[in-house]
Amino acid sequence: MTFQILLQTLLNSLMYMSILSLSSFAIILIFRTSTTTNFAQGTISVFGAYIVAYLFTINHVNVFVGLIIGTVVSFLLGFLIDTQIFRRSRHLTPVGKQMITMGLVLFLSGLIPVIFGTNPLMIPYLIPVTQSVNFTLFGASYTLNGHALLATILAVVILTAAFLALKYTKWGLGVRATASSEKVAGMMGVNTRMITAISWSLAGFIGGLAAILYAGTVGSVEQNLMTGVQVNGFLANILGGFGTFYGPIVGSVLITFFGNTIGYFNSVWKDVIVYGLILVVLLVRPFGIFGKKIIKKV
Amino acid sequence: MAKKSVNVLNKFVGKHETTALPEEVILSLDHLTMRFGGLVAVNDLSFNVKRGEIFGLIGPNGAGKTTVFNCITQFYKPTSGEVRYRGHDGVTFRLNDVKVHDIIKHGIMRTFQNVELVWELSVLDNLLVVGTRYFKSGLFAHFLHLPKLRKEEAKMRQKAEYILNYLGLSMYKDVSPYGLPYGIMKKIELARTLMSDPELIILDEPAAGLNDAETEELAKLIHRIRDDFHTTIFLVEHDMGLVMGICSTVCAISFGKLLGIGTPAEIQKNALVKEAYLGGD
Amino acid sequence: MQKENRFKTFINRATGATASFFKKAFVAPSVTKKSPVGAFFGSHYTQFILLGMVFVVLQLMGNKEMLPVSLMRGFGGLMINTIVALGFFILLGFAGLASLGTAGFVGLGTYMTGYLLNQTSLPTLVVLLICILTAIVLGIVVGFISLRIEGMYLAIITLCLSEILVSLFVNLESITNGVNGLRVSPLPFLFDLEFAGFQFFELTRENMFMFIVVVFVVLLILTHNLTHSPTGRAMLAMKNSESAAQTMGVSVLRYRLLGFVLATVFAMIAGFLYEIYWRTTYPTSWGISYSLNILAVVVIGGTKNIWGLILGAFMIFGLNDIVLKFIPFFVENSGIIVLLNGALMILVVMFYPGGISQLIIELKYKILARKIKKGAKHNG
Repeated sequence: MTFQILLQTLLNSLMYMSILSLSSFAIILIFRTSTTTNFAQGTISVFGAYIVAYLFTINHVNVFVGLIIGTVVSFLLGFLIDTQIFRRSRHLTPVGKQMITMGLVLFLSGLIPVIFGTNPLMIPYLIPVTQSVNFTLFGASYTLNGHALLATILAVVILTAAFLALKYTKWGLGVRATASSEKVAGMMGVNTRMITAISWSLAGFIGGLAAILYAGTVGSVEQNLMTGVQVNGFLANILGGFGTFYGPIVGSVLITFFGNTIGYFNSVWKDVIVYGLILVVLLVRPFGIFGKKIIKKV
Repeated sequence: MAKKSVNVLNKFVGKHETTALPEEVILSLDHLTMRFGGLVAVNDLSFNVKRGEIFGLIGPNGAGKTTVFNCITQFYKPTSGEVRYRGHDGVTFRLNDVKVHDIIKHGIMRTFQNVELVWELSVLDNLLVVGTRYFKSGLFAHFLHLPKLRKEEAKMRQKAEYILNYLGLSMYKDVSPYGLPYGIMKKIELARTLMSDPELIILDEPAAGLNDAETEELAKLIHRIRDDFHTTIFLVEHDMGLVMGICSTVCAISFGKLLGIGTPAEIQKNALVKEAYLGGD
Repeated sequence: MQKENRFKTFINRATGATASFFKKAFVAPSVTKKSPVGAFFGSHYTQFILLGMVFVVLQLMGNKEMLPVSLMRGFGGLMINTIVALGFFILLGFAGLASLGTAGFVGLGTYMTGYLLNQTSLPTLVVLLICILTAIVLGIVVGFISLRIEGMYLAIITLCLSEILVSLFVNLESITNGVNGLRVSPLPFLFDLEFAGFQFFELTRENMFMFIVVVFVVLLILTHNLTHSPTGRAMLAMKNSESAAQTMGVSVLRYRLLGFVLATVFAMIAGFLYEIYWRTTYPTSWGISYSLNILAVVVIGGTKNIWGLILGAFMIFGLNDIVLKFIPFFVENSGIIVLLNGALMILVVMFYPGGISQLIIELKYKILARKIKKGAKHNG
């Protein structure tokens, strides 16, 4: 494989890497602050994408305006889910919380055709495909389309902001405390309810953005748009490990890049090989690449 | 080289025999050391526990008592040193080689500092789990509830009810241990140890969370159990009153090292022990 | 009030009589007497067999065209899905292990059955045996993996395995026919000794239904027995506290393997039944949503009681295929069924975390309490 093909593959991967990183981050954010594996991540995101597509197709609203509305709606949806459902529940086990997210998948999947109809809705690229960045390096020419570039920039900006916030803001400190131990954090005065509400809202926002960007490359929005991304999001999480916030991001990058590289050689068995490799890595590092084992004191 | 291959062969055959202990010694620690990365939790600890006695292991917080405990019961594998055990049949075993779920086979049972009971089973069923490996009926009989299984269950049940009665827990037999008073839960753990006709019972801070009156009662109970069930009792404890009151031998450790071992009176006079506990005179 | 009493006494006597008949014949009482109410409802064996007989009667009615054929299909599908859920019930409810790979194994069962029936002349029951043996091997493999990888990581790794299987279904086109699905033809016979020259009991949908009922009831009984046996108790101990279990002599390795083996065996038996009943299998049926639905059945149904599980399966799989499909409003607005299903799931978990099982157990105790009160009134 030549350097040129490698680099071009990397460029082609940027789009998926960005949205996968965003989705994985949303998953780990919710997981670490409320011990919930959010199976509804994809469906909540798709809801946001549907809003944008609907506004675009039916009301001819500009896509960028639609983007803002869509992400705000996703943000609110996350907020509502945490405050109206999780807060009101009786004592929940982690499996119970998983089941609620599953119920949400069904609920939203049923709601979507009722609101938006059953046909896929058109959604365009945020930046027309014709506008792409072309450059040459060491005599070989490379291309990256505008939409992918925008997606990458947005992902980098948002994730950097998120990590800076985690490290330097009061909210970030609260998140890390809650992630470490919710009970103790609560006792130390961290407003854990606010933390989880904000986390869910942010996760909604980030997920919605990811879905809208992704839908642009597919061309239309339909219910199962984000299913594949969600599955890969969970894989990125276990690959990187649930113990850190940056683990899943690294996992996302690795899965996308290696997936595309392997896909170049053998596109039929690409998935099997990638899944197999993840399994092997987990056998060697059972808590993910960056995971930490907690020894229970007996 | 020869000894190694004999050991390997023994492991294969399921025997973990080793140099014999004298008859009056039931448990022996030889230069036991436990390291966690750079931290040495137990440092070259050696002592013997005599058959039939009540032996106490004391030490200030962080001394490594629970680590010793876990090394004996194989929840941790010792970094070096040996733990040897001599059953009443006269064969001495090297516990280091025994898997944690096989410890019960040698007649050793333990309790837990953080009470570990099965919430989803009734108290009676909790005791019955101990009997799992004593059932001769296999999976097939379990699937079909063959008469053989039912007979065995009935016998197990009887034994469990007897033990619960002995400890005054009969009224709890059909309820889940969840939500019961802490003292009762500790007694249930004790009942559980008796189900396997143990030769050595190891108690992890049995007096933790009990008030003076309850500790009194516990002391009497431990004596009764030792006498009625013919077992040796090894307890790890923080409560001086209990230890000095019922133990015939006391071993004091600090930072994983042995401070002294002897009768309660001797230990109370031991200068090193006093320093470790009280910070000098 | 009097009528109610007489009705109750009648049911009492009828159940009691049926129960003791079966008890004398081959049925054993429940080994662990959780509560005297268990006796009131009669032996569990009787309950399950009665359920089976109900299904048989329904199918016979269907044969005579007194009931719509699609209704019967609903029940057939329900039983198959319940079998998968039973395996998962043991795995999650007793061994305490999470797995999202169930769908892949059911799918594997369908494809192996389809392939072996089409390409070889092996008798049908031998094909079933091969499926079971394969399941045992795979269950052991996953069991060993579970010793190394735990909790959430294990759940997602099993999802990985499931996706690998689906990928195989799609891409090994020469064996599986890829996305076009694998069809079984001609119809197999249940007792198929071609070399001896006789085949009988052709497995048409109607006949296959009867076979499914038999397998279903047998598995219900076996599961009930297992969960009320020392093995069931050992598993619960392992699930609640590994340390306590090990102290009590329970080998975590052994029971984890057992959990996975059983779950996989049930899944592949269901796959076998599926392929013969529906005659075709498609790779897309075996994705994550099927695994999540099975998880939902066990969580909604609860892990304490097999009837809870059966009702849970009915709610997730049966409600749609058996009830709502016949109400025009729901057929037109199929989104609403899914929406209601989701809302129901959320509400059950929010307010009734023990699932339907918890509901059943609480109901039993309420009835017992009333009986005691009545008894006290009569005697006191």
